[in-house]
Amino acid sequence: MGFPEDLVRLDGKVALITGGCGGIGACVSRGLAAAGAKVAIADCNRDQACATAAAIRELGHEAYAAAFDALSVPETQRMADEVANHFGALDILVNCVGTHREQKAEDFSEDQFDIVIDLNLKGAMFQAQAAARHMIRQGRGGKQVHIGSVRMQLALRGRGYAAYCASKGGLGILCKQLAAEWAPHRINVNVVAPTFTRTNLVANMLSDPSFYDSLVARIPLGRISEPEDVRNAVLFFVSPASDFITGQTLYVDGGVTATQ
Amino acid sequence: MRLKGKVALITGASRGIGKGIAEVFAEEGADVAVNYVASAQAAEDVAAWIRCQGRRAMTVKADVAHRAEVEAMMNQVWEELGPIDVLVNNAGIETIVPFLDLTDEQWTRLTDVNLRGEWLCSQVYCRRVIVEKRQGNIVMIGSVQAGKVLPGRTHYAPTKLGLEALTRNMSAEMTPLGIRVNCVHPGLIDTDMTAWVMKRPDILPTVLAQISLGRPGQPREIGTVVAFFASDDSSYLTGQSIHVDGGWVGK
Repeated sequence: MGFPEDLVRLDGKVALITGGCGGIGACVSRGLAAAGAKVAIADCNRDQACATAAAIRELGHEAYAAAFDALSVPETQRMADEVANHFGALDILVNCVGTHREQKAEDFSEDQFDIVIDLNLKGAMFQAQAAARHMIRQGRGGKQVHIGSVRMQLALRGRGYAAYCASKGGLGILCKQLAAEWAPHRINVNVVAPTFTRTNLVANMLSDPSFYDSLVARIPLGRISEPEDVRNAVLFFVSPASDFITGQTLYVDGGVTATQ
Repeated sequence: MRLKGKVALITGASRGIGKGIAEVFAEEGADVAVNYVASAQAAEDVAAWIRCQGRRAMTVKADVAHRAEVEAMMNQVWEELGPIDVLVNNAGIETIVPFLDLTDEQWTRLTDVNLRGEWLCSQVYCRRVIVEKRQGNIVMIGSVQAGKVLPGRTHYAPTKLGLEALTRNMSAEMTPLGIRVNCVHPGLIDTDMTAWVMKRPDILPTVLAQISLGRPGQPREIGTVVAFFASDDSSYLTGQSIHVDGGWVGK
């Protein structure tokens, strides 16, 4: 436990942000860098990873780009090794990788279901493993945050969310188990679970005022999540301020899960 | 300093977890009202420590289970420190009584302080915040026992699980009016309330073996989490409960 000004600083830490080019991932990456961490942006798209890292370097921070396929376990380990080799350590993992396929449950195809589970759940497991191997070897603990969703807890009426809900629900108990197994190594594993977040991915949907109005009507705070809301919760979980929290899920949802 | 310029009222802040919260709040820049019910000197010591950090502090006596005392406390703090930005409902008591032995009086006193007290302080606070057209923030202090069974707590555990429901329901009604409400559930924290556990070689190893991090928490480790909920860093969080227990609940 440091003094309060140290509670939000990450100087000297190395952070790996997977899916680090997406709307949430890039915002998290910038936030971690601004807090003093050296950041590695890992993404399936090498050009985007390089661009995101370059933009962070332009702000005067250390940033590295790595490409990897989150569907491949050997690739995932190789990427984590590459990052640890580059910076000489790995202290923080923030997993922002995720995908979504919507199909009615009675029509869901096996290959589409597998893609969602493989990327959102199996991918999380093996990113966590790849990073934890370095954290355990280093012997100075670590912090892992996985991005969940309000769909960990809430089903969605009238929509084909079986794969997504199952993958994110599984992520919650996966992280609880990882927290239990790795606590002796002082690796904290937690989940930040946002609701609908404003990113480029959903810009089209949000431009429809009736869609936006119906969306915020059920959110007590009366707005959707901004990437910065998610970033702030991630910063809390990777900082010493949350040292006694592990295996928990925090919903960053403007009150949605509390009132559904 | 994430709470710079904010005024906070922390109930039961003369010792233990409440004291840890008060210390972190002061270091984060908040002025603090230290509520107590019996330990005037201990409360004054906490206030003196806060003043040493360059913040304003006051002590205020009130039994959180009595409306008139709560209203007087709220008025007094408002007058001396100004409008309250953050209310931390921390005051609580714990006894261990087997279910079959529990008396009406034991049930009533404990639930009065732990559940009705938090409801009461919150209601008095929210009414004033709304009348004055201000923003507010409430953090409830629950317990790992909201999700974990320990012996002799048939009166205590329901109050702490009840706080979760209170948090959700208050958040539904109050958030649209500008008051966020969240709840922190501490696990085994190193305080005088748990000192008896720490001194029992027949109990302590069994308890620590259930905690993933293998150690009790410190009061300040609750304080840093409460400070997060009280700060604008958590501006999109409301109605939530989180366990700060080193990995104890749910396994």
